[in-house]
Amino acid sequence: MNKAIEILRSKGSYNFQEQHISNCNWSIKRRTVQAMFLMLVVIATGCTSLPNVGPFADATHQLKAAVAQSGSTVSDELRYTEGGKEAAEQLVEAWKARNQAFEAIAAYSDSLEAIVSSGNQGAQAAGELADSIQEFAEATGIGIPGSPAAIQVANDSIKLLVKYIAITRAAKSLEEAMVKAQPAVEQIVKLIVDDLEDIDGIFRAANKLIEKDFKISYATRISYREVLEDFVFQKVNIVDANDAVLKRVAQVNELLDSTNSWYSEYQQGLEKIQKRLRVGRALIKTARASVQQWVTAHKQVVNALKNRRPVSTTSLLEAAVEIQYLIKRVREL
Amino acid sequence: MSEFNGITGFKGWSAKLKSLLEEAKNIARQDDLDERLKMCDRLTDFILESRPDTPEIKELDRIANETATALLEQSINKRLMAIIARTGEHKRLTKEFETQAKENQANAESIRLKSIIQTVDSATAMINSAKELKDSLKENAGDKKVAALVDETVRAIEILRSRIGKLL
Repeated sequence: MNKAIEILRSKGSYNFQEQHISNCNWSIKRRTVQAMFLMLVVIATGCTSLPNVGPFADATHQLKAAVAQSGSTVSDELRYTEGGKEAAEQLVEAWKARNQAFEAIAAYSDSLEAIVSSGNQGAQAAGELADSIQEFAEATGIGIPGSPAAIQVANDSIKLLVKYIAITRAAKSLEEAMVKAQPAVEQIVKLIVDDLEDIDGIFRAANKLIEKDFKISYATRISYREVLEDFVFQKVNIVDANDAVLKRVAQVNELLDSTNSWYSEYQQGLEKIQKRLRVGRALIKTARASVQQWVTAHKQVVNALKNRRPVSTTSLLEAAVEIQYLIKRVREL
Repeated sequence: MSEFNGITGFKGWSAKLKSLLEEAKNIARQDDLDERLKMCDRLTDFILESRPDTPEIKELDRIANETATALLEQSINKRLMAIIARTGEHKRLTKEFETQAKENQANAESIRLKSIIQTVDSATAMINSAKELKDSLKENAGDKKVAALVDETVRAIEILRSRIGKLL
């Protein structure tokens, strides 16, 4: 204590009265003990930060986009099928409920982020105030009686305590909200996984119908080309052939060449249909895997809050990147 | 080696279609999409391979086409109905999430406000204490210097308090 008085005296900021110091002596000790106790409380709880739910919220928005895109990709495919317009409209109508569900889920994940942000904002405001108190104490040299070290401890303790209150309140609210939502999260994931499995089946069936009709539209020309090919590649023995036969082969080859332009269109058309199937199915598959990762991530955040552990969001972030890429590819088709 | 090699004439193609339709009937009784897709491919190949293009063969092609379409449309409709049947449950859960989101936003706002109010209250208490301290100071040069510092600090805290207060 005497050392503290000497330090403050040497600064020349205030002429301490011995009586005042004597009166303050017990008070300072008590405050310092209180401050250290508060620090211990904060350290003991280990709650100095809130989990970062930002990646979880971002992944939810990506998932919402993937589910919406999956629905529209499949309804478009249905629309391309002969007589599939009605089924396509039924799917569009039914899928609206899925899009609305994911709107609500995205709003829910944003609201979790809002809780975290409010806790952090409260802690920041408290920190700013505590810093002002510190500056005040430093500027006057008398604002808070005691040694600079004791002032620092008391100030940091106040800052930590107020931050702790804000963060604890937010953590408690976050945990309660997520625990409460967990059953609904699990139910909706089960529903959407079943939905995605069903639209994958619809997509494959619709794509096959399109492929079938496309092939049939070329049936006569394909038959013609196959007859020409059979003649050239199977029925003619070039070594033993006479001039008349060779002339005939040359004529058939010319005819075969004349089919190349439409045959190339035919192959390109088939490739386009098959590419649409590959990319669309990749999106649906990724959406399904991401939904399952999402429910796991939700559970992990709840456990992290209960056990005060950090949240790993690597797999969610990877899934979000893949979804972005696949949506881009589907839209390019 | 194609399963259609060596088939000739209406009788040959008709017999082949008959055997395909028997298999298709069995597949239609199950819900194995892979089997349905394979059967659709075989029926399509039948249409592409069958020749010559006489009215009789074209009639066989029409039957093969309709069978392939029916197999896949049945599969589509079954899945579409399953999706439609789950719509009610989606709507119920949507409401649950909407309610939870509103509750969370209200909690977030409350946490934010409580923290800000607490901070503003602390700032107000700090300003009052500082003013009391200033009132207790004497007229000597040392005290005047401190009083000036107190004024400066009070002004800084007031600015901070008003800035934080604007968040309310």
